[in-house]
Amino acid sequence: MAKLFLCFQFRGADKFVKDLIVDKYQIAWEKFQEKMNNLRKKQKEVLTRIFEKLDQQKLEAIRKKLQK
Amino acid sequence: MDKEQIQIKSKESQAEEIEKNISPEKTAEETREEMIATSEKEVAGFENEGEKGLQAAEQKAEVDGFEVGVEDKTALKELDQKAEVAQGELEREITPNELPEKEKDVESKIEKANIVGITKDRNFPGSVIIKTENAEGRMMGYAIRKDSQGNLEGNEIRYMKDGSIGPVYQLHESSFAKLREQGVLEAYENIPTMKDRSAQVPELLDKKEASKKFLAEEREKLAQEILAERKRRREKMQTLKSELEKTGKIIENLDDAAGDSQYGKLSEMQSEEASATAEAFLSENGMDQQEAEDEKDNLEQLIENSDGLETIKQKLEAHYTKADSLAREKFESIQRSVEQTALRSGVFFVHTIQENERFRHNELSNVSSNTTYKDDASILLALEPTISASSVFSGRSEDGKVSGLWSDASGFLLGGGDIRYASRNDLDSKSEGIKKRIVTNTREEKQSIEDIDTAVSKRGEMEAVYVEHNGVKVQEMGTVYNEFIIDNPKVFGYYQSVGVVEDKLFADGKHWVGDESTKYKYQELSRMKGDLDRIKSDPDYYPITPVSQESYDEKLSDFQKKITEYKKRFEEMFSMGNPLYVMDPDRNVYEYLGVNDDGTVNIGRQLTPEDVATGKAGLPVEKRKELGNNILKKAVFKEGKTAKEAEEIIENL
Repeated sequence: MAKLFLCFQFRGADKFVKDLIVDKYQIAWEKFQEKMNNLRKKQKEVLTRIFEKLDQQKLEAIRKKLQK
Repeated sequence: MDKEQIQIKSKESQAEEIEKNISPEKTAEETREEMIATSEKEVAGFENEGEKGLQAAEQKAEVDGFEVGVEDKTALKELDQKAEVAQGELEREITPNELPEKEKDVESKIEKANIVGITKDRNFPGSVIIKTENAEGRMMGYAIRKDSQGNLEGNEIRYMKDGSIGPVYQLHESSFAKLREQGVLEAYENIPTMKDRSAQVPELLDKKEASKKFLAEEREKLAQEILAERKRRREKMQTLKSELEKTGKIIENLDDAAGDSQYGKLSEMQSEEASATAEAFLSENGMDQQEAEDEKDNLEQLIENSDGLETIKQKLEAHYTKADSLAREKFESIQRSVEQTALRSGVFFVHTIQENERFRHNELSNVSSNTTYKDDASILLALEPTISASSVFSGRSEDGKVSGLWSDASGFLLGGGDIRYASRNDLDSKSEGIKKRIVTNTREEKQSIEDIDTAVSKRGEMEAVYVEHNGVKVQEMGTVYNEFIIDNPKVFGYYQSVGVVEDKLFADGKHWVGDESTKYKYQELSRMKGDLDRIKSDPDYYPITPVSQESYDEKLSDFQKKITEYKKRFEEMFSMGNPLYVMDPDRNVYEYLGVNDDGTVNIGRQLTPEDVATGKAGLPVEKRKELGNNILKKAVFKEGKTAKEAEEIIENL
């Protein structure tokens, strides 16, 4: 991401202002990405947990059937 | 789809996407916009992934006869909300601070908010939520209420794309000035509510109390007549006294009349006493039978004819008979009211409006066929015309019967009115003007309270009735609903139906828009969506039921239309001043709190007939005038005399 934002060319803005904006945008974007990655990780965990629970329920049902 | 197939975009792939989309030539503003657009896309992708995963899990669960846990579903939803919050924060962080001049400029250009709905939500007790939508389609809500001192307070609600509640912020004092300029506060303040009222308790007064309460003027006049007559009588009795004194007898305590009603009786006794005295005196003086009879007649005539005692007695009797009859009439009229009947029998009185326009306004109707549902509601609320209604019990009878209604979709709960006629079956009534409704095949004599209660007691059963056709009575099967002709109806609130899954095996405890078919439609859509997604990732997959994108889009559009219309109808009725409720198939009534995109309805407290019979009912006069004038402008009445009657009702409010 740093590479991405550093290559922007800001028309009519001097280097100082440009750097400031770049820094601000870059920090905000990285923060957003960090949050999103965290959320994706959690989403994956929840979905995995859902499937695991379903598998568990299915196994239980089969086990009960076999016991009968 | 299986858990291994869940595709989660990596940080790298997102970055690549941005790099591809954003040109190095862009300005800061363009870059900012690109970042916002990309982040929104990313959040949407995130939500989509979660939804796809959940759908796959639900499908799998359905196949095996299981269910995905509510807590897991909620966890996914919360993650969606967090993603939206993160996106919002990014947006705020990269939004440049405006120069003061520019800020001033923006402030002066505060635009009116696009208000798309007014609703309630149990998460915001005591608040009315004004929903708005901005140009980008983002939904915002303002939950506004008043504190104990009457000051405004509230919250700003950000809605998620699926309509659920996202981040919520406290509204500060300064925010209200902006909300006023945007027209949000105006919408809040202009919501009319039904009028307060004090319930009349039926009490049968005795004739004296009734005379004081209902015939005060006549009572006063009669009292003056009695005083005058008493004076005359005193003079006459003085003559009689002189006559009796001549015979050596004095009637004592002649002037001690105990009261108005006793006066006649006392005088009668005195008359009898006078007769008996005369009889004794005359016999003692050796008069023969004929002479004695003649003398007795003379004395009695003196009392009877000359002083008008009988007239007073009759007037008193007539007065108290009238007072008694008025007391009974008043007592019965209160007992005959919608509210007292509802309290006595534990029922809701419901006036339904047909959704189907063809049935709603036929050739017998007094309004034209282009009268809308909203117009019908306006007529009811503004003019309080004589209408027909049915009573329903909540729940089922022991043998499983449910109270019937003419139309199951929607209607009004009546909190007041006067029952003019009651029948256990459809009365085949039709309106003639506004305050008149005629009924065929019924007797015109007044019904007793017992007759009304018998009609109320009906619950769903169909029974034989005698109907007259060309002078011949024939037996026909009646209806499953009863019918009441109600004068001056007072609306308590508006309801639409909700469906519940009745089969205990499949019951989900949810309330669905309109009826339970909404659930099955939603399930079918989920299945179709799941199949379409799977076909995309696995071209060799053939679902059991064939599915195409076109058929899915068509069904989705129908489904969304149904939900939107339901929601809009509630919003429309709320803006007219109606509190909102839902009724389930067993006639249980609950507070309405909102509709979700999956077709489920959020409900609040269950309502009792007592709540309706004693709560606020009927619109305030100003709102009735406003709605009434709008109806008059629209010229919906077929006949001029009906329009004139409507005009007079509005004028006399």
